[in-house]
Amino acid sequence: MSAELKTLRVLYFASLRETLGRSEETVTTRAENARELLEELARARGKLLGNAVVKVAVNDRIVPWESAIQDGDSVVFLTPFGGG
Amino acid sequence: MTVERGGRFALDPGRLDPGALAETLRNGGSGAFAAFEGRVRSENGGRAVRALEYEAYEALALAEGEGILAEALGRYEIVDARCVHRVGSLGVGEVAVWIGVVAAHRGPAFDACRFIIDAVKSRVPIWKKERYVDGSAEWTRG
Repeated sequence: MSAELKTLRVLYFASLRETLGRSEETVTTRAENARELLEELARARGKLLGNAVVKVAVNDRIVPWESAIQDGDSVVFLTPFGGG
Repeated sequence: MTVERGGRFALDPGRLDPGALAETLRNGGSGAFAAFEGRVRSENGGRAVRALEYEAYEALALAEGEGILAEALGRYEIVDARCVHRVGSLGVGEVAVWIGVVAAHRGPAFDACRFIIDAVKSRVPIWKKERYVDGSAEWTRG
C-alpha cells in the first residue's frame, strides 16, 4: 500500500538552482523519506540532482536520508559546500 | 547590512572590515587575540580567477555557524569568538571569511581559530562560483 500523498516545498541552491532554472518548487509525492524523494525527482528531471547531491536538509536541519518526510515539509538537497 | 540574529556567526553581502570586526569581540583584559582571514585567490587549479560569488542557504548556514562557534567555546579555553562569511560577488584579494578569537593565552586562540575555519569549510552550506579571466565560470569546492 502506498503512503499518503503529501505536498512539499523543495528549494534549490547554487549549481542545482542553475541546472534546474528555479530556486524552489512545490512537489506532490508519496515518497516516505528524503532518499525516495530524491530518486523520484531524479527520475523526473533526468540528469539533475543524482550524483551531485551529498546531504539533505528537512525544515532547515540536516537529517539522515531515511528520515520520514511529512506534508508541508521544506526539503533542500545539498551539493558539496564551497565556503571558507 | 549584516545578516545575523544577535549571534556570533554572520553572513554579510558587504565588504568586511577586519579592524571593526575585531572591536566587536568581548575582551575583558585577555592576553591573546588571533584572527584568520580567508581571501579570494587570483588562481585556482591553474585557472586565473577574475571574481567569485558566494551563495548561502541562509537559515541552515546561520544555525551551523552558531553551532560551530558554540562548540569552539566549549572545547577551547577561549573568551569569545566570531565568524563572518561573505555572500554575493567578491573580487580577487577581498576578504571572504573572517574569524576572530580572544583568549587568555595564544595556544587556545590559535587552536580555536583553526578549528573554526576547518569546521566552517566542511559544515556550513555556502557555495562558491568562480568566474575566470577567460570568461568561463564554475561552481567549485572550497
